[in-house]
Amino acid sequence: MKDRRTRKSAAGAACGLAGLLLSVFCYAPGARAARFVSINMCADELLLRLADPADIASLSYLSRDARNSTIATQAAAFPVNRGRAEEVMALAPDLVFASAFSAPATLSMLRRLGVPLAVLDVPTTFEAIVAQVRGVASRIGRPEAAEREVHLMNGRLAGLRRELPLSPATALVLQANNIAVGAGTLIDSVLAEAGLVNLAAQAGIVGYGRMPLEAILIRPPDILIVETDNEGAPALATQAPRHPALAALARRGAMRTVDMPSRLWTCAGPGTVEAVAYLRRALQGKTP
Amino acid sequence: MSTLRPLTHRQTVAALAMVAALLTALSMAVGETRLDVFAAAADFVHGRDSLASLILVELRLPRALLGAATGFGLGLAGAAMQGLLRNPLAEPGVMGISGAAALGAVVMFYAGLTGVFAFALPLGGMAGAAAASVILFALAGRGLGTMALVLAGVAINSLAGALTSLALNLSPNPYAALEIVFWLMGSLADRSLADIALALVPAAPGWWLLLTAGRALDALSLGEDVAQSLGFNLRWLRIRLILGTALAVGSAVAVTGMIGFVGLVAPHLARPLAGREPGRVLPAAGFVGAILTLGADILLRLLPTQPELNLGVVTALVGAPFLFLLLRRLRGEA
Repeated sequence: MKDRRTRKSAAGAACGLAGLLLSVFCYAPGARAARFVSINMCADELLLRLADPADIASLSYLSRDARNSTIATQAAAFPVNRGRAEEVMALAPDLVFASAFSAPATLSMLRRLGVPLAVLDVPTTFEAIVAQVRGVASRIGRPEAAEREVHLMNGRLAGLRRELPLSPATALVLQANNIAVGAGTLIDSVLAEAGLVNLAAQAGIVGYGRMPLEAILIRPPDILIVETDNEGAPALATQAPRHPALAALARRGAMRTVDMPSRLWTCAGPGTVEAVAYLRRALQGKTP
Repeated sequence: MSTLRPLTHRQTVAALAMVAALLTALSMAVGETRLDVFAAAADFVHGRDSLASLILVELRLPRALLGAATGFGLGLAGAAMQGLLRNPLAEPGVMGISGAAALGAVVMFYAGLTGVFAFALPLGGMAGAAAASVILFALAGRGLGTMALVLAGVAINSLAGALTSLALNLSPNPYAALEIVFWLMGSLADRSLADIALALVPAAPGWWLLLTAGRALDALSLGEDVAQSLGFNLRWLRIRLILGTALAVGSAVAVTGMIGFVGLVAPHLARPLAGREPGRVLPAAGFVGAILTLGADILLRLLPTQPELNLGVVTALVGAPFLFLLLRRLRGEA
């Protein structure tokens, strides 16, 4: 998933059309290195993939936490911020990347202060990921980086699709507090690419919805997918999908449980293809 | 045809036990999916592996049993405390014993100790309950009045609540802080057979300690001097009730969170049925506690709220007005 990054070379890349439409600011590479700041972990990943490292002034502190982030090692080389308006201002950024889920107070403060801001939405399909990658790349003046990433991702997806079995298995993703992941989510798209039918979506859950244990037991999925990351520190919420009744179901051979590191699908980006690959390996019985 | 005679005490307790057993069975018929309970039970008895029997045994049975056991323990502890302290407001919830039990369980659970040793959870609950009982009974021994004792309970409750909240906020798991709701307003949802073992193994000897304190409490109701002259050791009685309450309440709260007011209401409802002597109230209050808890837990699953209400919310909705009534009656007597 680590890609080769080229030093700033051809400075001729023009400002992309998407960039022009999205904002007033559009970075045109010049003599001085740009100062891009990200206050969102998912935007961090896109910057690391697309931007010239010399242009990255700061990433969010969350990206250094290997439990939740897939880019912890790369992010260690960059200064980090905690996403507060004051520290962002102090970085004198040319462009700040945030998420639609960033703190509203911070976003409105940055807008008031006139800081160029790119607020990224959260793609839920691989097509939307491609569009976002191209949009971000054009705003930082590196459209060729976007095409490289998109090409790699689509190639990877096509390769995984060729290995798909003929009959899809049903799957249920059970998050903390027994929240099931339904239709219209990134995870739903990942399941589809991994050749799985999302049972929660079939049950009519759009977005995220609670799935009672009894409902799971009466109509079990072939594959139960449980996220693993927070289990170092216990909470009732994260223990809920580990209920003994589900374990009993698995013991009877009625269902298989697959552990999923949730950081693989926390962010929508070119790296999300790793979540598909992980599930494919797990389903084939290999250690993922 | 015999004429209608009032039930003997034994018959009253047996009748209450039967109602509790009936509600335990009824509780297993209520759930989030339609289930042929009799077919599911038959599947289980004949060893047929069906999904319905799995739901019945792994989900509904633990919930029903835990409801009965928790309610029994709370009612029993409430009756014992009201007898010992000769205070109609005494009960594990109001006096802060449940709150301290929750704190002990929270510390054990979120520190990760229960992952290493499962019984650390009820042990934590029992340690908390015992600590709070020792403080309360020591204060009571110094002749604190009814209201002063209740205020001491308020102090223990707020301190335990604040420390519980602190412990949850210190957890690195982002979900932990939200779980204060479960610990303060308990629930029987999605408990498992493993939880049954954790709660019942320590609770059973606790019930025995409380149930067998009846005669000493009867003597105490005539005054401390009378009780002592009848040969009852009051110091030993206190220790026995502290241990019994810690075992019965501490282990239950560790698994279900705090379920308030059952211990307060149950003895008051049991008295008109079983008589006023503490020894008679004890077993009756236990079964009334089980009936109240099971009834509330069945009710909240029949309500159309999604997700279901916490059991502690329902018992508080019933119990808090009851406490107000009691306070009014006490003022009338004073």
